[in-house]
Amino acid sequence: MNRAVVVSLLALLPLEWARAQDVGTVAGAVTDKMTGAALVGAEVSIGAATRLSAVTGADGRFLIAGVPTGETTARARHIGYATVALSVTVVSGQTATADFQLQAQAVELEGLVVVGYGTQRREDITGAVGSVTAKDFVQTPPRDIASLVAGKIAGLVVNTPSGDPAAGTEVLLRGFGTLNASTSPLVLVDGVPGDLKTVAPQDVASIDVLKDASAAAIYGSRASNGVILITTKRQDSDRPVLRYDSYTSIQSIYKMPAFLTAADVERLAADSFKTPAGNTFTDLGYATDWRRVVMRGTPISHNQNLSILGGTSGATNYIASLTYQNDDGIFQKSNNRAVTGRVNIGHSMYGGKLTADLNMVTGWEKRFDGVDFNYMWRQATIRNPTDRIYDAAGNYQVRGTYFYTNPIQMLNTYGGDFESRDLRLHGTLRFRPVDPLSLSLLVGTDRGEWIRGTWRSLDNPDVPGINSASRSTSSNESQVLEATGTYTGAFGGHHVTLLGGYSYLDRLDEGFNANNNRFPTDLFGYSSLESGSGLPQGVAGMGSSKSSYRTIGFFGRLNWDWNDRFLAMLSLRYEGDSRFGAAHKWGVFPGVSLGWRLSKESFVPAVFSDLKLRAGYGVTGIAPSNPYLSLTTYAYQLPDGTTFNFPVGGQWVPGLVPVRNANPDLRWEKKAEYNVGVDFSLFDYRMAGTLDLYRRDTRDMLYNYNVPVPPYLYNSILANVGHMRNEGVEASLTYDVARGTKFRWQASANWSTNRNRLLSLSNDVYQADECFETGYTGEPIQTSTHRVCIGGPIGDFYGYKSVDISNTGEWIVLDSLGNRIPITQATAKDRRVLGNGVPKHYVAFNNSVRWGNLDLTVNMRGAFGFQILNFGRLYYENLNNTQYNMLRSALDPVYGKHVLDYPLVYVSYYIEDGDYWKVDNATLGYTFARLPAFLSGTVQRARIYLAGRNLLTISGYKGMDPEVRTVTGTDLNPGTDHRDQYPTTRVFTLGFNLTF
Amino acid sequence: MPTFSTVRAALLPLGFLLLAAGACTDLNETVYDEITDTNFKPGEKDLGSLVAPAYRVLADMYMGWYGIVDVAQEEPADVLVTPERVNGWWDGGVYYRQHTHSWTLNSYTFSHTWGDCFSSINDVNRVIYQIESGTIPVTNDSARAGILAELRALRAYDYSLLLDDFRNVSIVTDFTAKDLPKQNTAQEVYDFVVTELTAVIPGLSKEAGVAMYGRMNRWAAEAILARVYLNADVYVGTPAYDKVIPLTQDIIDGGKYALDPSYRTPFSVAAGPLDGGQSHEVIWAVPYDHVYLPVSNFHMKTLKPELRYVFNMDAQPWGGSAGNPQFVDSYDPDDHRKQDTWLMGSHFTADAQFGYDFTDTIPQFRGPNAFRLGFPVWKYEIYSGETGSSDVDYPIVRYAEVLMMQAEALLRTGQADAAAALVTQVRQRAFAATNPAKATVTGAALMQGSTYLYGWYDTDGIVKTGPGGTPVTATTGGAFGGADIQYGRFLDELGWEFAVEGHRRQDLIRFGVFSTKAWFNHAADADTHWRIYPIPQSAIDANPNLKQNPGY
Repeated sequence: MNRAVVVSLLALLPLEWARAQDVGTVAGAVTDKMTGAALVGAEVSIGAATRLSAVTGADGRFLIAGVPTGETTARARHIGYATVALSVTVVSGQTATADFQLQAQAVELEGLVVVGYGTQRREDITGAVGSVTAKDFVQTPPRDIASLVAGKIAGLVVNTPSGDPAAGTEVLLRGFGTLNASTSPLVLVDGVPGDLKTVAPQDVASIDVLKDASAAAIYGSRASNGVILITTKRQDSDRPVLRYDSYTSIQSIYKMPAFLTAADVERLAADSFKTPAGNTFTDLGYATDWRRVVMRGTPISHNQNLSILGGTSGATNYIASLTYQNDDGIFQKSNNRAVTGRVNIGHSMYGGKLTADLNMVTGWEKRFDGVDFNYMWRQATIRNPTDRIYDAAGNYQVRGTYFYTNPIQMLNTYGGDFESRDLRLHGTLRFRPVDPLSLSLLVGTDRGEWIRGTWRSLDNPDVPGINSASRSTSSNESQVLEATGTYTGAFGGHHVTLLGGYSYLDRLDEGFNANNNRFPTDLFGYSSLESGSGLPQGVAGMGSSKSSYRTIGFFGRLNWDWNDRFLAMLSLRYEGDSRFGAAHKWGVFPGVSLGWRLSKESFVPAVFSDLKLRAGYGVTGIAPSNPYLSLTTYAYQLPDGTTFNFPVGGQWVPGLVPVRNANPDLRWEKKAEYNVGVDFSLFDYRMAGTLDLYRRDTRDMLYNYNVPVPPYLYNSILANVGHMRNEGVEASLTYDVARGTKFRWQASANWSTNRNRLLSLSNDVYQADECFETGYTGEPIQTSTHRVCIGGPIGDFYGYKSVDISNTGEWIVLDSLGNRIPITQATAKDRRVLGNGVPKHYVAFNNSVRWGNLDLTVNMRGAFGFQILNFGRLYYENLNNTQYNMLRSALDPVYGKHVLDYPLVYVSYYIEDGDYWKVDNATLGYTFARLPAFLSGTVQRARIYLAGRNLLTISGYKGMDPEVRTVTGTDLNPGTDHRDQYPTTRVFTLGFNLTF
Repeated sequence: MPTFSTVRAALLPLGFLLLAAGACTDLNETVYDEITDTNFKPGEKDLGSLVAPAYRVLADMYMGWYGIVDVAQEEPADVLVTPERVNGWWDGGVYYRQHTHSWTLNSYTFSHTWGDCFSSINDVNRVIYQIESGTIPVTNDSARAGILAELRALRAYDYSLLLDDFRNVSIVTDFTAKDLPKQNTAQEVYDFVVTELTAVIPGLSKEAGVAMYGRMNRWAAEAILARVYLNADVYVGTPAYDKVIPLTQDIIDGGKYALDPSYRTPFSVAAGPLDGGQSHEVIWAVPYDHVYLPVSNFHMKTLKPELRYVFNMDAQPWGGSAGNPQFVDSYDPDDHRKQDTWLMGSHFTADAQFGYDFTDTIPQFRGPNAFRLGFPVWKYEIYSGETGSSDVDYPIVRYAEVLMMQAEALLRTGQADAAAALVTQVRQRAFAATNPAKATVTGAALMQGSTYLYGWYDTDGIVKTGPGGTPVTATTGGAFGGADIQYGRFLDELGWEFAVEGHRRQDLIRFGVFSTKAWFNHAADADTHWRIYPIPQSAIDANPNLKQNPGY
């Protein structure tokens, strides 16, 4: 579709060939304003409509011939400097002089793209890179940094499937590329590995996503799931600035499922309503809206951010910021509090030849972590609404029903908290001995730790009379070293940037936990673990762990262009990882991409402000997630706590068991990807777009294979065997609907589609079945929900196809031949594919409007072509078990015919189309042009805004929210809308920004 | 063109890189919290730890989740059923398939036995290799001979389980062999088990106390070999009943064991020597413990949720399995084993808020059946404070079985009266408090058919020829009634004595009942291939040398 759009646009454009006329020449030099040094590789261009441009050579000089006579504008641009425009009068046959002095800027992000170990001008990019700067971030309260670009980058899926304030987003780039390895992208914060919560969203200046392997290959065996490069804000002016951002938000459950109310149960009981199975409803005589009593009335969250920026131009600059975030969830006690602090000091000496950058980021996060809110939500939905919270004696009302717990008792008798702390210290030294050469050394250390404590009081519902408590902690420590050298040169029309580097990462993980029980009092919580008598009774536990790994890489990259017309990028990373098997310690990850800026060619009409064709190929990898996976190992205890004790001679002896087979061939999953794309701008950059096509093949895919014992020591082995393919198209288009000074409106849309197929899962050594089943209904149904087959995609729902209901209320399903049979006669082979949980299309439509001092952004996004397994209906739209509350729709006839009279069973009736279109967020802001008298002179800028998130969903889906989880760890069960979950929310926010 | 100084400067980063490269390219793994081949040098003191896992799998296999006792040996038989309940228990039809003999090729109900047995076998082979090669130095010759004999006996026991379930399995004794194992025939596996046990019995410890508790001593090995001989006709088509008698007699003559005065003693928490040693009947047991070996959860599977309050347990039971009403009805009313085995009648908390009034009827397999329908298993002691992991040890072999094995061998070799004397001896404690005279059985009685009323258990609680069919009597014949079962009365005795001890599938097959009679919602099926479990498909996928068992 999008290819067609581009072609037709090309056809419609009026051809405006530059006509031969009188011409002259423009020549001059480009220098650094402060140091006076010549700037190599600066681009000088003439006018807006001509194709005339040149790039400065080693002496900083340029010459542009054939410039039409008359008054024209020459612009000089260089990475790291502010663009300067000069007015030049060209006289026929003469040379006009234009000397530019460019002012260095810490980071000028507009028009620049961070590509890993460096930046490039947007026009020079030859890979598939998505890039969003702060002004285009999604403005409503973000869960983490990925929230800022939700719906902004084609091919990058950012979901928010949970309302838990502690939960992050779900990120998936270009489909499922693995069965067993992590699907998380590599996140680099200012070039150093981190995560999506490392820095506060307010501190982020830009987010760049290396989507294809040609761009990502320089990150080797960590890059298969894409690379997200987060660039933090830097001081960009001399003036000291103080910024204060603040917002407050309230949230509510997005949609409350319609369960039987107390009045409903009372009426059904009074009517002696009998279910088809003969069960009746019990009116216990009270009325409790369980889902409301476990929720907060109006949960309020707020966020405060204070930043100071300043420095002296060219010498020292600093930025420091502190962010406090306090989120309350919709459930009682559910919360999340975070403090993030950041200090960055930069210093420049010897006329910019030596710069030093010291960076500290620290974070602290704390939340209530004592109750499994997912399971509490189940208990609040299934509890009889005619029951009461407390009995007449004031004790919790307990019923003996199976897996049936008073949710208020859960909330009050379980407690605990989780706290994490991070500290990242990095120093970078940059040395420019001569102008074209820059050497850089980054040394850093990251330390993270979390500590968790939980307790359960005596009157807990699970083991009444026995209290317990636990404490667990985990820490990690990384040492990072990166040395790079960059050479920039120009020879004639050739411009090259050569990068070489070495990177070293050493990581150590440690964990410790202990628990005890039977405390004499509930007063300690987890604070005095030694007080319990569970330890001497042998029913307390503890554990510790320690592991490490190391990743070492050598890399190089060559960027070349000829007169800005032909562009090429070659990169190579040679990387080793201690987690790889002995026979494969090192791997090679090449990347190559080529570009042709057609807009530099005279045959392309001038209506194209820019037009570039790109093609790339690259290889990336993903390492096995844990250390020691290639070694034969034994243990006295499995990670799940299983021990192998046995009495020998009357004494219990801990058994030592093999837990893993050696696999010296264990290595990275290898992804090879082709990408072709086109970037274009039209009508003086008024419309811009990108189109990408890719095919990515994951080979040597990690998978656990069953192996016979003996001869193997252990019954499975992790091996590199399978092959998966993802193919897709991504397109985005931005259009400035109105560009006036008073009224501006920018609209942008993007679309992505992906096709995924598992091509192989066997080789000569390791064989897997043609299909494997995955996903799980949980009890009492206890069956798998999904199936993955060779030749098919990830995410197929697999079960009985229900088509009708018998007049006794039993399912009629299709057998393997397509005949209608009662479900009682169905066998496993009658199951079939019932849909797929991975959306085929993701679409987003974003609008940004400014009218005077008012601004409005509306971001909409949707997913299409997928199904959802609605567990809520599967479990609760059934009259069979009247001990649990149920959906009102359980009383409705199935297929409009007959009320269901059959135990819970997984059939296609509960699989629904999930297509949705969401008004994801809208923000209305007002910037004060004239400040009140008492503020003017102090406050430079002030803005207030009102925002809403998850405002409206258009969907036929009957569950709470069709934006369901696509990836659950390494489970391949996309499209599963679990019954135990933290419901999604709608959020309204009021905020302001002040700049002093 | 770049100047000379530029070129020289460009070399700087290269020098820098080489410097760094020399220092930091080491990718050997530093292992902290696991044991690898290279950082562990076992010694004699580690023998216990190395041998323990070979035994430990028995704990998973018997009373663990999907254990041999219930799912693999009782649910395909006529004593225990796990029908659908109000809280579920359909579980994808796994119990229904066990009940109706329609299991699939990869059911965990039996596939874990495969995995566990071979894991144990591999552990045994590894330790034997380590001892024989001197990797583990065992200096004392008699200790060395004793441990090798014990390991071989345990391996033979693993193979006896594989023989019973799957027949055609691979015999592997060489730990260093790297090729995928070849498949052996049932005869070869049978011969291996018999030869190995026969060879090692003289070298095994005769110790019966705490030192050998849970381990293979001479008496356990003899009982296991007797059990294999008893089923030889089923396994290889050659009866070996005469060989049962001297083996069982050796155990009796050894004088280490005796029948406990109470039927429930071997199933009590205090039975084993680690917990009080009150039982003298248990010859070989799996020593469960909620601290050291927290695996036994069959009580959770059979008790009902509200019983936690009635028995003051520390966990809420799940509520599934119950006695098949047809079997429960087959007891003599004076047989104390009925109430010692099943939880019958009314059981409520003092305030009557929680509990059940159990009835001996289960309308049908597909539910939802209320929790009070059908009797939960009461045989294994339930105690205050019991958690999800029971402390009750599981007796793999007890003295009563030794007596009954000899009795059956005598009966089948024409010595019915001698058999009857042994059966009477076993029955005496069951009738001691009610009607001692009833304990005595005659040889003639043991020659009679079964009193178990085989047939379809219809929704109204009447045994019929099928759903809505005609009621059956003991003498209906064919798939119904039990009168035509040869030695059927002896089979009944085995049922009453060993109910829910994981013997029943083997017993029904040996008495020719397993596929020929109907019970509960299991219809008779002349197809005999269900007598052997299929080789798990996952095992065949992993080892192409394996061929599936006939009929699957």
